Amino acid sequence: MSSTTERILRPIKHTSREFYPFVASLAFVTLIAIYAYARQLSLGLGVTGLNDVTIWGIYISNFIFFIGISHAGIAISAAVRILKAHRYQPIARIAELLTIVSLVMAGLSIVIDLGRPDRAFLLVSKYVERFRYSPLIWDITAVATYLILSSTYLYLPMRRDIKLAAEHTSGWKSRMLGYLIPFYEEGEEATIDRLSFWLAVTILPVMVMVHTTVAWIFSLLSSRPLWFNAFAGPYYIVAAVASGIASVMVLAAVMRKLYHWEDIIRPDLFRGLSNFTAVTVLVYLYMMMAEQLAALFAGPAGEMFVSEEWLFGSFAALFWLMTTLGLVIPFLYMLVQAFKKDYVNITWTAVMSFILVVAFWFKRYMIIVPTLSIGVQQVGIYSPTWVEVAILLGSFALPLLLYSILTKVVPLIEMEETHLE
Amino acid sequence: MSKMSRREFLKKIGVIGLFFALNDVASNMKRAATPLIKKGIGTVYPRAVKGASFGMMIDVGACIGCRRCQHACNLENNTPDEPSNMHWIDVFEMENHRPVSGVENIPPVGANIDYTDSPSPDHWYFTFNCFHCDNPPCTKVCPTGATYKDEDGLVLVNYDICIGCRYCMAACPYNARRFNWWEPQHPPSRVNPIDGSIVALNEDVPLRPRGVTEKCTFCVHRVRDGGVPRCVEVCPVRARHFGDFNDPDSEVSKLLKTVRTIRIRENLGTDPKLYYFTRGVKWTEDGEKH
Repeated sequence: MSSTTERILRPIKHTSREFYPFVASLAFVTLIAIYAYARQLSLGLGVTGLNDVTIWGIYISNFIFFIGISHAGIAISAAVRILKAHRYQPIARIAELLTIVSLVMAGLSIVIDLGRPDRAFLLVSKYVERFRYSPLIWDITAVATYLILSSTYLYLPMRRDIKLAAEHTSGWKSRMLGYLIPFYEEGEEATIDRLSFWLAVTILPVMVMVHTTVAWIFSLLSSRPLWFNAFAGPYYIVAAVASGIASVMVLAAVMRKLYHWEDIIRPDLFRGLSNFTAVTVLVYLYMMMAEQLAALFAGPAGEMFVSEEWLFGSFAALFWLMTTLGLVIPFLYMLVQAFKKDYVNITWTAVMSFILVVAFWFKRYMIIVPTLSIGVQQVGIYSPTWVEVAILLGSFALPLLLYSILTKVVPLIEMEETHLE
Repeated sequence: MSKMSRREFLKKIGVIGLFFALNDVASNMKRAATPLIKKGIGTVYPRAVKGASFGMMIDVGACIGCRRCQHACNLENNTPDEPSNMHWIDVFEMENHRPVSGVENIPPVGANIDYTDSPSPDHWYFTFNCFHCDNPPCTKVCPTGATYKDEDGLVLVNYDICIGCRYCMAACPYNARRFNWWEPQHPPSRVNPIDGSIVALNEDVPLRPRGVTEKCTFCVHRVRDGGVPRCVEVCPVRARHFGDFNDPDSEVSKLLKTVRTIRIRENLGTDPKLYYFTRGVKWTEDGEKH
C-alpha cells in the first residue's frame, strides 16, 4: 500500500479534534436558518423585506449564485476526461462534490422562495401541460437533468475508490462504505471508464443549457430593463465559470493545507486555473461595460433608470465596491501572476478567488434587486430582514456542512492505478 | 396464508386508514383556517361567455381621483386591508404637465399615490388595474397554469394551484398583480365579534389564502352574469366604461369609434384591453373643468 493512497484516505480514517467544533458551529448556523424558515412558513413571506414591487430578493440571488457555482465541478472533470487534461485530475472530485452540493442548494433556494411550498408537487404534475410555455419549467428540467447526470458521473468512477477505502478501514466504517457500492464487481472499471467518457460528452451541453435557462428565466421578460437581453445566456455562463472555478480554487487550497496534500495538488494546477479565471473575469467586465453603455447611451427610460441606479443611485456604493474591489483587483492580481514565469502564490490566489466569489454573489443581487425596484417611489425600498439574512448565512453553512460530511465518506482525490501498487 | 400475515395485513390497513383519517382532520383544520368559499377551477368562477372580449375604457379627463372605485373594489372582492394593505386598483395623482403617453414606469415616475384631497388644482388622475391583455406575459410564464386567459379574454388566477413563485408578477409590465405576503386579515367590521368568523363577505368571490397571487378579475362573477364591474358602477363621474369589444352595439365598441384612445406600453405587444381616453379636458388652476 502506497503512502499516497494512505494519505488520500486520511480524512476518512481519521477525524481531527478541530473537526467537531467546526461542524457543530456550521450546524448551529444552519439551525438558526431553519428556525428563520419555520417562522417564514408559519407567518408567510411577509417576514421578508420583499413587497409587491421588489418581489424577488436574496433567495433568488442565492439561486443564481449556486447554479453558477455548480458549473465548475463538471466543467473541470469533463475537461479532464475529454481533453485529457490530466494535470487537473487531483481536484476533479473536489470540484464535482461542490457541483452536487451547490445544485442541491439551488433547488432549496427556489423552494424557500415559494409562497406555497406545500404545493411544489404541482411543478411535476403540471409539467407536461406547462413545458411549452414557462421558462421556469425549462430551468427545472435542465437543473434536474444536470443533477442526475452529474451525480451519476460523480458516483460511477468513485465506486473503485470507495471499494479501496472500505478495504482500508475496519468495523462499522468499512460496512457503511460497503453499502455505498452495491453490485460491485471486480474489473468493472473498464466499463465505467467508457461510460464516464460518454457521460462527460453528454454533460457539457447540458451544463451550458442549465446556465442559459437560468438566464432565460429573467431575459425573456420583455418589460424588465437590463433583464431583457439577448446575450443573457453567455453573460450568465461567463459569470458561472468565473465564480465556479474561483470557489474550486478556494476549496482546493484549503484541502491542500488541511490534509498536507502539497505534492498531490501541485502549484502549477492553481496557476492554470487562476489564468483561466483571469480571462473569464476580463470577458465578464467587458460584457458588463457593453451592457451599461447600451443602457446609458441609447437607453429607453427603464434601462436608463436602472442603469443610473446601478452606477450613481442607491446601489452605486455596492456596485463600485463589487466591480473594483471584487472583480478588478482580483483580475489584476491574477494577471500579474500570469506574467511571472512559473510563479504562483497559492494563499493569495485563494484569497483573491474568495473575494471573486463574494463579489459574484453581490453581482447576482445587483441583477435582481435594482431592476425590480423600478417603481420604488411608491412602495418602499427593499431591505432584507433578519429572516432573509439568517437564511442567507444558513445557505452557506449548510453546503459547507454537507461538504465536511462528504469528506468523511468519499475519497476526495481519484486514486489512479499507479497508486494502488 | 398464515394467521400472522393476516394480522399484519390488517395492521397495515389500520395504519393506512389512520393516515387518511389524520389527513382529513388536517385538511379540515386547514379549511377552517383559510375559509375558501368555493373550491376548484370550475366553481371558482362562472362559465366564460362565448365569443366575448371584455375590456374597459377609462376617461382620464373625467376622473376626479376620489378613489371610490378602489374602496368599492375592496369591499366587492373581499380584499383584506390588513396586513397586506392590498388594492386591485391604484389611483395616481399626476401633475398636469406629465403626459398620459410615454408611461414607461408603472407606477409612473413622479406620481403620488398617498394624496388626501381630490381633485386638486393642476393635477389629473391616472388609474390602473389589471389590463387583461390579449397576449398576457403573465400567463405564459406560469409554471403550473394557475393563471390563465379565459375564452372571453379575462385573465384569471386559480388560487388553488398557485405555488406563489411570483414569476407572473415579474412578467407583468403593469405591476397589476398582488401577493398575499401575510395571512389575510379582515377588518373588525367584517369579523363576527361572537365567534370570530368572517361575515359581511361577498359570497360570490373566493377568499385567497396566504402565499398566492391575485389581481383584478374585472369582477368576473358580475360580468359573466351580464353585469358590469363594481368600479364601473360606483364611479360618480362615469369615467369608467366596460363592455364586450366583440359586440358592435356595446358601449365600449361605440366609444372606441368616437374617441381617441391610447394604451399603455403597447410596444411590448401585450395588446391590453384597458384603453385610456379623454375628451380633452383637465382640471385647471381654479379647480374648474373646461
